[in-house]
Amino acid sequence: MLEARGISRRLGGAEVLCDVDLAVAPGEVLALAGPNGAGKSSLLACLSGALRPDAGCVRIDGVDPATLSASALARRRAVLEQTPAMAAGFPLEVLVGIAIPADLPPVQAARLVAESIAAMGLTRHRGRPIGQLSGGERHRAHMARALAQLAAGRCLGSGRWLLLDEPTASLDPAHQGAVLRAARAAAHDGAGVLAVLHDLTLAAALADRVALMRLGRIVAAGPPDEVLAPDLLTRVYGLPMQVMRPRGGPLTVVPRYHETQEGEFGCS
Amino acid sequence: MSLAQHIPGGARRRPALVLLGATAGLLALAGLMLGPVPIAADRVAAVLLGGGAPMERAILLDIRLPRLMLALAAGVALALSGAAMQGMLRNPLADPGLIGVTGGASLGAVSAIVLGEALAAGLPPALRPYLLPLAAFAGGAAVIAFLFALVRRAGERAVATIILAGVAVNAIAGALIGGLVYVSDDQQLRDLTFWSMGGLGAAGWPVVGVALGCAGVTLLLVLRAARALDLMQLGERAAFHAGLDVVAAHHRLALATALGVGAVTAAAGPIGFIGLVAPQLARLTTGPTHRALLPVAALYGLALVLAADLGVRLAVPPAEPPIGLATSLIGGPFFLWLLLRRRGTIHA
Repeated sequence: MLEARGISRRLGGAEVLCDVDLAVAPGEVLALAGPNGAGKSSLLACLSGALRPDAGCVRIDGVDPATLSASALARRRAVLEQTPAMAAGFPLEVLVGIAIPADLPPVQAARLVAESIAAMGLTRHRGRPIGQLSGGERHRAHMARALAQLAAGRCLGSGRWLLLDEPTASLDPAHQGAVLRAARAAAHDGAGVLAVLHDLTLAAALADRVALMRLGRIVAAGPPDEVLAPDLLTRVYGLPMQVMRPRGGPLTVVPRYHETQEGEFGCS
Repeated sequence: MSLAQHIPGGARRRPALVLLGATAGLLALAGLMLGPVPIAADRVAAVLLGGGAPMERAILLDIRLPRLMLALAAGVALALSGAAMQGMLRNPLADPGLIGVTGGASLGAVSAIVLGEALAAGLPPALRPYLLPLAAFAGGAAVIAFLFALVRRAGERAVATIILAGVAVNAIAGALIGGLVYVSDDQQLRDLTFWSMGGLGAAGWPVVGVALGCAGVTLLLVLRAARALDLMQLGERAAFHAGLDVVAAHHRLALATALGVGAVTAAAGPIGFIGLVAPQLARLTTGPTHRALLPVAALYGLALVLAADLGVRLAVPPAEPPIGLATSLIGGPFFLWLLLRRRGTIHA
């Protein structure tokens, strides 16, 4: 399991996480949603071992990440950051393979890199510097980097967790689909996936469970059908939300912007 | 990982290494042969193999060989320190001189020259001949420690802060050096002037030995950090996620830079622009992957220092203008060209 038990964390004087409990199981995709500033990225950073909670504890496969070296952690989990630095000069293959541990044989590493690039639909950009790719293509290149790291960790016997911070932001619908398929495939191979998502319709399509956060707390967690309810979403986002489920079709969440009163955005 | 074989730039590495190595070798041979007393290549070989006439032995072993070894130390240490700084700060304009490390090392060295007797009294006798390199190392290390404390505070916007802080550090170091010059006596003033002009000719074997040793440590630490420098290009958080102990890597590279710049500045005076230019030239040759870039940068540094040294020795013999003049004359225009060329693409 990858779990946070009662964690709290202050950043710059403000409490960004408050007594948060969350667990991801192997083979599961958990979507984390909530308004801007709800604490989603901070929770992800605590789970990845990059941020230490002030109170409570984090366990990755039962181990406190603070006791693991950075390289040991990197074999267990891969992370797609919200805004990674661009590393403009690197050719695509170098960026995608950059996090693969040196003890994986080069031939195997090259294969994982090629597979990850293909999964993100970037094969025709092989050899090009990252700086020459479009914004969405760069984002997919970083996603491919996280996938390659996870796959390398799996080859070395411990890669089990994939943490994605807004993996579909800045992507067109087709490539959002590619990212979702890659996340599902990772879960199918046994990895536990935690994805911060703003698009609740995507979250419903992707996730086995959805957790909603607001003001540093988890307000609801469970299957999409239960959590993505109009009343709860309206309370969390301060915006009327319509949830539709055409017979047998996918669950769709539509914000009703036209019903919003001025000044209501984001307030409690 | 040897992905470098599969990428553009990796293929250009070997010819570049061979070409640069040959150029540096020829420049080194020219440095040994040319001078007020020219010595033919076969005579140089004879001396290096243990034979040769006494006068040729004296000229080569006591004057030209230590000079060559100091050029080796300076070129390699300054180029790799520059590459390490540029990689750590994710800014191709960072250079030990620009961000104040050379200024700190200079202040240390000048303090050792002017306050030498007082400072030496506090040292064990065995270390006293090494006061100058020790003080220069301490000065460089102090500036680097200060800059890293600043990085921690400034967070993601650290790079602009560091470069501005470097300007301030250089100004403060310059003012303190001015103060020390003001209180120094005639002999110290003479020593100071010669040291501050920078040159490879003045140092004897003991100081050259220290510089070579320190440059060797810099070489080892920076080459071993090639993957770490690559990962740092992702930003600190992402580098950690990819498996890098960022703090430890920063400490190792900071130590490497302070050692290399400190020892070379102590022995040869402040030499500008090698730290900026050599990694830039290497990046243009091999691309940004550090495993390919670092050895090529070291060779560029060596070739540039050897060329500059040869230039100042042959320009107006028997007088010898400071080497800093030649490196700045090569480096200054290059730096300007780089700035102008980058203007359109600095945000890309």
